[in-house]
Amino acid sequence: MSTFNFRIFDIALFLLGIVVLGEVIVRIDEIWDRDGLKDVVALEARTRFDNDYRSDGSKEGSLSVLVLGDSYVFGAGLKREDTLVQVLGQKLEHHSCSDGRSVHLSDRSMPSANLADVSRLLTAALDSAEYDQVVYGYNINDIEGSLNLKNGGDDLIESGAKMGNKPSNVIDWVYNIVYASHLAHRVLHGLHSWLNHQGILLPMSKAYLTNKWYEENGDPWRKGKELIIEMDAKVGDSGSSLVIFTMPFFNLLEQENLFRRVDDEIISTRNELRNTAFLSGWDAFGGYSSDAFQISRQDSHPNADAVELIADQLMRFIFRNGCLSQ
Amino acid sequence: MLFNSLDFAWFLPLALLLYWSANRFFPRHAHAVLLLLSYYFYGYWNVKFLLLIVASTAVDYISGWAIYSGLGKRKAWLMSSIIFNLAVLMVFKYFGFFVAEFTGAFSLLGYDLGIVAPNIVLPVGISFYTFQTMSYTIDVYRGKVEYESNFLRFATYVAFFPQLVAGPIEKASSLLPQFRTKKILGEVKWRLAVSMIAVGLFKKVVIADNAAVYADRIFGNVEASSTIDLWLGALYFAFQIYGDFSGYTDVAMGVALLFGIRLSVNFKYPYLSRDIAEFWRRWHVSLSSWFKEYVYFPLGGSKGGILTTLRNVFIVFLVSGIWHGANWTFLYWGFLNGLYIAPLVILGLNRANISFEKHRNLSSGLVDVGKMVFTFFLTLNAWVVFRSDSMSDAWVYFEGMYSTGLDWSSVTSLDPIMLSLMILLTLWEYSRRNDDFLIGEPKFSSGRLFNRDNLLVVALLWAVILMRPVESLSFVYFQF
Repeated sequence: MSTFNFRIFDIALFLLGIVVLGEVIVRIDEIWDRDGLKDVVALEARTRFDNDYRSDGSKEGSLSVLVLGDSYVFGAGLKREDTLVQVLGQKLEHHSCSDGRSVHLSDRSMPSANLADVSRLLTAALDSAEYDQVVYGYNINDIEGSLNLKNGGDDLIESGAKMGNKPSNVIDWVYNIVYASHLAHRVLHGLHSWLNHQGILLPMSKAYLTNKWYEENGDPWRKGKELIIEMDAKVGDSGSSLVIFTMPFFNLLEQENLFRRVDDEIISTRNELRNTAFLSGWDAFGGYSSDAFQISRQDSHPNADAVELIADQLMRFIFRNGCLSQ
Repeated sequence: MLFNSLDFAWFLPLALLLYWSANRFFPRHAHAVLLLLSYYFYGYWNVKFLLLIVASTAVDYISGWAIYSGLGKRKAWLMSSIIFNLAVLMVFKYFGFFVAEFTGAFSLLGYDLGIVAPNIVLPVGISFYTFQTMSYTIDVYRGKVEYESNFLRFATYVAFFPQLVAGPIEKASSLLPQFRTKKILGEVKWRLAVSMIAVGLFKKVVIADNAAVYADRIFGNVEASSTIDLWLGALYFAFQIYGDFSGYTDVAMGVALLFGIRLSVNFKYPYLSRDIAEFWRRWHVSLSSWFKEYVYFPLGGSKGGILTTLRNVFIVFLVSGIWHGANWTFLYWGFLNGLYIAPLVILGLNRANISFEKHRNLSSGLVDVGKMVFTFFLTLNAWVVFRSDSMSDAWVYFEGMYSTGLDWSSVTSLDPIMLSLMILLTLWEYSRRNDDFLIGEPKFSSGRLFNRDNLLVVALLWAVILMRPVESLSFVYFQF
């Protein structure tokens, strides 16, 4: 019996050793800034709020384009000259409408912005200036976050708030420890990504719930549609028009099947819209290798090649449709 | 298939299952299963090049048989084997280089021959398996090894997948007999194997791949790098190539052990060498031994006086340099190593530090540490030549390294964590300098699971999973 107890204690100690060592190593890795990349990206992100196209409003006698979106549009992880706003702005500057008007671009993109944020930014922008064309880089996850809806997604995100509460039982203790563990986050995130790359969405994961909201016309998506309809009306009232580019998940391009229905669902709202057109990112990128279009396997934002393709599509759209407005 | 890939993580358990099942049910033919697995492993890169291995295997099998049975002239069969293998190497590895140099030389004289150098794809591991199979024929000719009558067994010796693409280059006398004996699963030292694989992956993924991030950046941007950065670049590359190659060997040895096969030790803590002759007895040991046995000794070795010895030493190092690739930098790298060793040969000191092999007694005195540092300094300079794309690039690098003025403010590649890892590896090796392996055999059955070696293996595996750089890199020596 004593041998048995000794073995149990030994095994427990060994398992604890595994966890502690993993925790120490993951924390060392987090502070390890290989090649100074973290500094570069942080610096780029800071300077981008002051980029060439951050200036306010429209320009007399030119085609004014307003750009909205989240970090995909803002250019997280990219050098300033490779960001979507900068590349699109440069492309537009080198051309003009057939009636001779030049194109003036104004950037209002914001990292982590959701549909509600974008709607608010659009209202503010249209209140202060006139735009001929509004461009919105839409992400499937733009219906999450601060849409102020009480649905599964928000509950799931807010469940982390348990951390810091006084634990009342063993389960709470374990939960708090796992929640605070960087190792658990890394391992679970890695496992989740790997499953996604195999074409599997884990039940109750964010991507799974987001898909479900769209497919079942759940509250967040219904609210999202209302916001898109509002935005459509706003641009219509201001004499402008809106083009929505639906961004794909650049780390899961090979798994187009997982998101195609959602993309179709978003684009189907065009039937209710008068002033809005859609460009499908899944049409443009679906089925390609993620490695070709994401920044890295650790950062799934679009890379410079992806930005180039998106900018080309938007430029063609603007010169084909936007230039028609007077 | 890379050892550090998910594909290999699937392949290995399946291969072990098949192999040990074969061993259980038809043990006399288990090597045939190993052969099929090895061909699958190699064919995963490029199926076409399997034909080359099969051809090389067939030629040396027939040559070995003919030499053994006295069919015709034995020497003619030996020469046909050597010529075939060298011709294969010449075509796939050096032909493009020679054509380019030949036309380049004529264009210097004002003649445009209009010949475009062919872009021939280099089959992975060609230099390793051709040398291995050649050594068999030579040893059969010399009567040092028995002729192998079973073709499949001989083919397994040539293609054994853990060491097929980057060594160690195994002599027939040490590896072939292991395929003849029945393997017993219970005798496999799997704990040692796992710890060797963990050490190897750590050296490759954590040390080499992360060091490569810095080395590539500095070697790719020499003119804009400060003096200190250039020194750091050489240091990073020294650890990249060591971690990469010795890491591969460790994994190869561990994987082979899982199949009940013991491979030769290929690296014996080379950066702890006290002179450059000792370095070459510790670095890529199987290749150094090959050149010693099949080039240096046949040339007369050290028996003909100092001048003859020097000539032989330079020949061996030049051939060793060109073995690494078709580029002048490799040739100069070999020549530089010859220059390093020449004073030791002249002073009769080239065998002064062979105690590691003979007595496993590496002193820990300060003088020895000083010698190690100086030898590492010489090696560092040689690696600059090895890593550079051309001799003019190497020259520019040296100019930067040895320019005056150490401006610390312009240093961009001083990474405390990377440097700490490299220092840690060196201290770890120093503490284990009298053992073959960096880690003892972990214990699971002697009553204590919670012990230093077991936790070390856990820490190494965590580091491999958590500290790998963004992109996994192929092994450097696959290109040779």
